[in-house]
Formats: sequence, structure tokens, C-alpha cells
Amino acid sequence: MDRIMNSTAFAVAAAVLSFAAPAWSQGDTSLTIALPAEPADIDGCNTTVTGIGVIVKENIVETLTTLDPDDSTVQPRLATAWEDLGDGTWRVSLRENVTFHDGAPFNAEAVAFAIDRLTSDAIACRDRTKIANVELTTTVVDEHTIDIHAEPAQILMPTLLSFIGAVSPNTPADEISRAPVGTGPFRFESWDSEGIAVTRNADYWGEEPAATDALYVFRPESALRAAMVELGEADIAHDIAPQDATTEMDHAFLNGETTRLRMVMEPPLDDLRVRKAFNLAFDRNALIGSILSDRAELATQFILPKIDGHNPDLEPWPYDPEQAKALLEEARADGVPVDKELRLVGRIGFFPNQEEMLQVMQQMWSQVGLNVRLEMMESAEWLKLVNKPYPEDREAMLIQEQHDNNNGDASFTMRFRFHSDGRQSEFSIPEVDKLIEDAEAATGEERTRLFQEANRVISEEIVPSVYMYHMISYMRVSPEISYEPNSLSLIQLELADVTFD
Amino acid sequence: MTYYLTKRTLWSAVSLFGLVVFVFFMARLTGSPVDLYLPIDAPESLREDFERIHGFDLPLWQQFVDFLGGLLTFDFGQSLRQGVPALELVLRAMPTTLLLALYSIGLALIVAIVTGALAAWRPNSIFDRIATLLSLLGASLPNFWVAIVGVLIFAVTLRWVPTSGTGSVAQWILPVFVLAIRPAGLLVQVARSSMISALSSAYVKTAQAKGAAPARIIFIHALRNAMLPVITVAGDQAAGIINGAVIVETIFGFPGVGKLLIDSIMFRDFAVVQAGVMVTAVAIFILNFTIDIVYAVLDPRTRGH
Amino acid sequence: MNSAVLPGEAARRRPRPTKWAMLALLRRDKFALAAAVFLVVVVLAALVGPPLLGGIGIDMDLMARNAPPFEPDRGFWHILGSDALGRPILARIIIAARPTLLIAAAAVLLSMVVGVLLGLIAGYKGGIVGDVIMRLTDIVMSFPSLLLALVVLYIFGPAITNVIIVLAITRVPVYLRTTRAEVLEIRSRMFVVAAEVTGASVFRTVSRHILPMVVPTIATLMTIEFAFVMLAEASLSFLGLGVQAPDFTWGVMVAEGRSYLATAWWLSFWPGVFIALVTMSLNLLSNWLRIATDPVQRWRLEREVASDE
Repeated sequence: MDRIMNSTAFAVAAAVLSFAAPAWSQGDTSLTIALPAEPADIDGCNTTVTGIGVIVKENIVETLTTLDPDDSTVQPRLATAWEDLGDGTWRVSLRENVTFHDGAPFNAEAVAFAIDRLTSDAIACRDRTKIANVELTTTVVDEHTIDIHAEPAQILMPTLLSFIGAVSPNTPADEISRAPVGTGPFRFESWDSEGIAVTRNADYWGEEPAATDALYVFRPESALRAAMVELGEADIAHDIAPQDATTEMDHAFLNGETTRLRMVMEPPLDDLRVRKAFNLAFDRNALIGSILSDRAELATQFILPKIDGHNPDLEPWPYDPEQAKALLEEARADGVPVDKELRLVGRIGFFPNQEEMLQVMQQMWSQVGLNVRLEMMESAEWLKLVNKPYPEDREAMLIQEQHDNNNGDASFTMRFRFHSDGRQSEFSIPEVDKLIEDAEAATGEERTRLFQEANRVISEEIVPSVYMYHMISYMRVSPEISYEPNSLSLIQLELADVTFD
Repeated sequence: MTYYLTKRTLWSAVSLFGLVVFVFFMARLTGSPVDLYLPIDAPESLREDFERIHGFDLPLWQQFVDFLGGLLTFDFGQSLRQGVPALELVLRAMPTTLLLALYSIGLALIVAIVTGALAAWRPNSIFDRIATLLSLLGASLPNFWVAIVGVLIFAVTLRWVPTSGTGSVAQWILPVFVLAIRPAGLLVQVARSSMISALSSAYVKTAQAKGAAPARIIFIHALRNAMLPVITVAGDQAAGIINGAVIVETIFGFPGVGKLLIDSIMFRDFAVVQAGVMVTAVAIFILNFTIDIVYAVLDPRTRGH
Repeated sequence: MNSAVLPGEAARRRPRPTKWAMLALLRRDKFALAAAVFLVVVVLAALVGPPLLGGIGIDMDLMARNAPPFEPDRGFWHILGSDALGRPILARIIIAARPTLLIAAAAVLLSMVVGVLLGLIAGYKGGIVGDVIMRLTDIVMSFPSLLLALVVLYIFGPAITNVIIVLAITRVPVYLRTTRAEVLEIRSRMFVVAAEVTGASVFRTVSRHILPMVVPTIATLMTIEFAFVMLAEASLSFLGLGVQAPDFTWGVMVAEGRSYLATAWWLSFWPGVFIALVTMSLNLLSNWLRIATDPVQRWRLEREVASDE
């Protein structure tokens, strides 16, 4: 009997050991990149969607322009030059001697096709969000010149060009693609249960990348992704949690996301003193370096400092529970129902440790007598709360939000959230509406000044939110390659930037 | 027998139809997928186009009629998320799940039969007590917990097996073991108790009296008689894995039906949810059907029914 | 699983042991006794623990974030370590014991009542009603419980009662099928036939003759089911579809600790251990209960006891 048991145990051990050889990468030029979630598709007209852009954008499908990760200035890519002809028309010169992966030539016709496809109502391209309420029409001038007309006229046309991915004219015009064909340094190879594979494009117009091919694999667990790099199973682990970023291999970067709590301004949150109390009783610094990365920055407004329209003069709220209590006392004396239980609605899956962060905030508020109940929601449910039309009997609550504006200009943030016709606006204040409208119509310094003023009024006088942090992401990069993440790396990870030591 | 099986098949078809109707409406009660698919600041026109393209602008009864129409030709519609036929996605994921179920139940059966038989040979011996206790422990461990602790120990710390993926044989080891633990625990207990009854049966006693070798008695005479309950429970457990290896598939990044189903539920990919529920239900039906036949073959008494 | 639970046929007509005799039997089975004692301790802790703890386990202390276990300096409650918000894990396990056990108990009771009732009807009445009930059971059994959980959570909001309902619905078929099988078998027996022939009402026949026969099986089944439901609840919570903050169960604790697995294993480890221990105790107890309520097998327990002494 014992012999049977022993030999069984031996067989199992032998089976385990025989597969034990670790899969170290062999010093070759293939990359494996571990991402948190498998995208739904990888179409070239959905490149502004986080999980899609990180694979497709500028790797497979290139855009007409790109934005500098550091200062958001517009850089040429497939467009080499652009010029405002007035009347909302821009003349764009295109790069020559570029071909798509399927052999089709890249020219004005191809750009016209890509724009038609993007704006077509036969498919729901999500990049349309970035050119919402703008009618784009194209006129081919010659092989490598195209006129793009926008109605209404777009001051930010060069920025808009960075949302237009040049997909091959052979791409189906009425169907979202899972096999994108572009002009980029990598061509799409396959998508199966292993992951998404791309290989180097031998005919690329630009500099040849160091990597020969790449495989994107999807693992939801942060610790697992991090371990994969450590074990040599992957070269890059994308978006790992702060607690897993414990080694030299881990790079922190400002990821472009800003997080806040939006306050629904019904009683008692219709009272400015109560809204201020929420801000004063929240010790923002206590979370930095513990639950959040020590590199996270305090937010004073919903956009990052690198965005045009960010007001650098705004100060973060101090932590002053005594003053918060005093404000609440004052409000209570005026009959404001400050003791009402308020929902604090979190959305599952924004970023690591978010629920813990909200729990800490809840406790901080309870210490000044604010009665907050945390509720975590799945995204479909959460979405019902954040978009207009709001239900008639909407109650006061705090809603956790996260927003990324990596497009260089405050207009991509402001109207939608703070103008009275914005789909997620909680208030209607003529002064703010006018500032936003004027800013959108202005250019240069005037535009900057007006947006800054709008942000000042909102942050200091209206206080519609508890602004929290500009968020940090971590990326684990294998010591066998070198890659330095930048502020766009969460949505756009250019394989061409990877080199081998 | 044939009458019984025919009747069962017909009733199962009725149940399947009921299931499909139920899933159709239940899934839609969880709300529209539009907001989930489009960026939060998507313009109204984009939302309308999206609804029109995918047929969500039609009244619910119309959607249901269309769905039933498609069902006649095994067309569950297109996956919202991936734009390919839903059935194709499910059928592509099915082999992974079936293999997971096969390997882990197979492993559990081997462990259970060997351990159960040895434990039953001398009830209340030290070996029996340890085996019983360990099997109870196995049946009591939450498998998500075993999975993450397993990754931590065997992949991260000891580096014996890869953390995840499906490419190589080594990547199957951890998931199969994790999935096998609970069924193995249950099966050891069942195998043990039915072996005890089998060993005390007159048939075995006769064999013993004739001087047959102990191994022969255990593995040839008693085992055959003790297999029925073991097969029943193994079938139940296999059905459980086909229906819900979600957690293990998610943690190890296995592209099986469980993972596909939960992703589709989360993303309100109704067509895939419907196809997935249907295909797993059919798979489980076939499994139970097969077990019934095996049962009938093994146990002559049921043949009369 | 059911087949393993069914007591032998011959057992039916023998008198069942009295409570005291049962306790005496329990005292003699060391494993079952240990399991019972452990369960009593857990239940007591769940009952009296939370009020005694006060703020311990609730109040956060970022200085003690992820403090490792077995560091006596931090005080008794931190003996199993602290969680990501510096709350002592032992205290949290005690606080979570109440919702964890409550959910499982409520779900087991609910599914038992509904399942046994429908099972009696399906078994006793049979015919079309029986067939319809059985087909509905098939549907429920092949319906993915995750989808059910999501639907219920979505429509009725995340609340403990809804988690209970989801778990109960998915477990009804087990009782239903077991009860029906028992009833079908018992009905054919002489004494039931006799009662029916002598004109006893349906209610009387069921309550006096059939139900008492079903009880031991159901009791054993409930013990196993309690364990199963606990695991199911933990799995739902692990996937984020179960109990929602601020409430938490052991399953939620494992789920929360998962993101610290590589750096602070104790967050997930201890609650998982408690789930396993309670489940195992229940399984041990049900094993014992099955034998103890079945005179055919009881001799084994008694003999075992005798050989120990």
C-alpha cells in the first residue's frame, strides 16, 4: 500500500519538475506585454479608448498628428504640415512614400476614406466622441494634399488630427475591425486565445524599431502581471498597483488621469458651507505614500498642469477639521440638514486601492460629523447616476469620477462638466457658461486666461467637487529592455520606443 | 430504456427553451449596454447610431421575435463586444473548459479511487483517518483562495510553474490541480463509503473466501460495484466546472466559457450570454445523458425502467 | 451528492436516538466534537464579538498599514497582522463572522423551506404539477448563478438580503430533488398507503407520516449546504458581485487582500483559513450526523467508540 502511495507521489513530483524550466526570455528582440484587460476590438477608429489605443495607436495605425507627451504641443506624424485657410478649412500636407500594410498607397484619398469611415453613421466609431458636434468634410487637392473643412470652425484642428487614425482604404466601412491595417511600424499578425500578436513592418517609412515582434497578453491581476516580468514571462507589465511596485524595475509616471468626487447639489450639498466642509475635512496628504503612490499630486482642478487652461494659482484645500466643523455648525443653525446620510458612490475598477481610499475619506468625514455611506458600483450602474437626464427625485450624493484629458486643451474637459448644457454638469451658472463659451471661441493667451478664470471661479466660488489627485501609474519594465514611460503611456505605448541593452 | 431517454430528451428541450427565454429577459433587465461601450462623453448622435446598428432601438418584443427567428438556424446574433457570431465565440471557448473539466475530474477520480479504496480496506486505520480528514479539508477549501495562494507559492516563490496562460502544458498544471481539489475531496469520501459497503457484500466475501489477492479484491471485485455513486458525484462535479470555472479561468487567464460568460455579462454582451448559457446547458445535458447510459450499463437493475 | 446522503432503507422504521444519546455519541467522536466546539466558538464570537470590540477592527490607522502577523508589540488584536488600512485582521474576522454566518444560515433556511415544500408537492402530487416543478428546477439549475446575482444586484441594489436571495434560489433544487426522491420512495410504503386508504387527509399524511421520514436527510443535507453556501457567497464576493462595502464577509476580505497578495499575504490568507475551517467543521459534523441518524451505520460509530476506550 505504501509503495503505491510513494510511487504516486513520485510521479506527481516528477511531472511538476519536468515542466519547471522557467521561461526566461532568450535575449531576443521579441516583446511580451502584459495588459490588464483584453480590448473588445482594436479598430483604428477607436484609438482614444484606453485598452485599444495602447495596442493600436502609432504601433499599427498612425494618426495624422501626435501630441507631445510632456507639453501637449502638436507634432507631425502622417501629416507634415497644416495651415488654416479660414472659413473653418485647413489644408493638410501628407507624408509621401508611405504605404499601408496591405500595399495600398497612403494619400489624400486614403485620408478622406478614413475620415468618412470615422464619421459614418454606419459604424459607431468611438473616436467620434473627440470630434462631437463637428461636421468634417474633405476635398482632395492633390495626391498628398487634402483640405479638411469643419463646421463649426475648429480652432484646435491640429489637435483633432491626432484623433484621426489612417486606416487602409480596404478596411470595411460598416464594421468594426479586429484586424487593423495601418501604416505603422508594426503590422497586425493575429488575435487568438494567447493574445494579440504584431510583427515589425519591413516597409515602414520611418526609423526601423528595435523590436521584431510583440505579443500582448491579458492578465487582470496586478500582482500576476508584475510577477510575469520578474519571472521573465513578460517584458512590460502595464499599470501595476503601487503595492506591487517594489523593485528597481518599476517606473512611476503621471498617467493623465485626475480623480474627484462630484457633489450632487441637492440638500444639504446645495449649501456652499457644507461643500467646503467636505473639502476641509479631507486630509489629502495622508493618503499619499500610503494607499496612493508617493508621487501622486494634489489636484486643484479637473485638468493636469500640462493642459492649456490649467490655473497654476489655485491652492489645494488645507486640512482643517476645526473650520469644517465650524462651517457645519453654522449651516446646521440655518436649518441645513447636515446630518443627512449621504451616499458616496464609487465605481469598481477605476484604479488600484480606490475602495480603501474612499473608506479612509469616509472615516475622515465622520470625524467632523458628516454622515457618509460608501457604496461601490459596477460601471453600468454607476453610469446611470452620472449622465443627464437626471431623475426628478435626485438626492444629494458624492460620486467618484476619474477623467483624463491628454489632448492639450481645457475645452475637452470644461463644457461637458461645468457648462449648463454639459451632459454631466451639476449646476447652471451664467457666469461660468459665459466664461467657457468665450474661452472656446478665443485663441492664444486670451483662451488660456479665460479657461483659467473659469477654473478659478469653479474651484474657489462654486466648489462643486472634492478634487483629489492627479494619478500615478506604475509600469514594470524588464531589465533586458529599456523603455521610459511618459504621461501618455497608459493610452499609447509605442513599441518603437523600446530598445534592447 | 429508449422510451425513458426519449422522454428525457424531449423534456430537456422544453427546459432549454424555457432557459433561453428566461435568459433573454433577465439579461435585458440589467440595462442597456450603450453606456458601457461608448466613452462617457460620447455625443448623442453616436449613442443613437450605436443603438440603431445593434438593434437596441427596436421594441423588446421585436428583439425577442428576431432572436427566436435566429435561434431556429442556430444564429444567436453577433457579439456586441467582438463583432463575430456569438455561437462561434462560445464554441471556440468550449474546448478549453471541457478539457479543464476532463483533466481535473480525471485527476480527482484517480486520487479518489486509489485513496478511497485504500482507506476502505482498513476502515479507521491511521491511513483512513488521515485520508478522511484531508479529503474533508479538500472539499472545504475555497478554490479562488487556493488559486491565488497556489500562484503565490508555486509560481512566484518556488517558480515551478508559470503564473498563467494556456500555451504550454506547464500552464495547465496549476489550474487543473486547483479545480481538482474540491471534487477530489468529495470523491474520496464517496469512494470510501461505497467501497466499504462493497467490501462487506456477499460477493466480495466469497472472493475473499476463495483466497483472491487483496489488490484483486479491491480493484477488480469491489471497485466495479462501488463505482456508481462515484460516477454520479463525478458527473455533478464536472457539470459544476463546465458551468462555473469562472474564477479559476479568470485568475489564470484561461480563455474558457466561464470567463467568456462573465465578461459578456459584465459588458452586457447579450448574444454571447445567450449562446453561452445555451451551449453549457446542452453540454451538461449530454454529460448527464452519458452518465445515465453508463449507469444503465454498469447497473442492470436500472435497465428495466 | 444526494446519493451519499440518503440513509439506508432499513433505517426508516427503527426508532431514532434521543437527543441525549446523540450528544453522548458526539462526545465520543473526537473530530466531530472538535468541529462542534469550534463552530460554537465561532458563533459565540459572531454574537458577542462586535459589540465588545467597539471601534477595534473598524478604525483605520495608516501607520499600521499591512503590518505583518505575529508582532506582539502591536497588541493582541494585531496578532494575525493588519489590513491595508491598518485595521487588525483578527478583529475584522470576528466582525465579519456575523454577516458571513448570517447570510449562509438565511440562504440555507430559505432554500430549504422552499425546496422541501416544492419537493413535497412534486413528489406527493406528481402529474403535471410535478413535471412543471421539475422542469423549472432544471432551468434554475442550468441558469448561471453569476447572471442571476448580477440581475438581482442590478435591479434591487446591493444589499445583504439580495445576496441571500440569489444564493437561496440557486440552492433550492438540491432540497427539492432530494425531498421528491424521498417522498416518492416513502409513498410506496405500506404504512403510507394504509393511511391514504383509511382516508387520512393529505395534510395529515404528509405531516404525520412523510415529513418525519424526510427530516434526518434534510438535516444532514443542510449542514453540507451551509458549507457550500458559505463558499458560494465567498466566490460571489470575490468576483465583486456579493456583499458590498461597508459590509464585509470573509469572502470579501479574501477578495480585498488579493491585490496585496505579493506583498502582504496575510490579508487574504487568514480569512481564507477561517472559511476553510468552518466549512470543514460543518462537513465533519454532517459526516457524523449522517452516521448518527442512520442506525444501520451507527453501529460503526459505536464500535469505533468502543475500540477507543
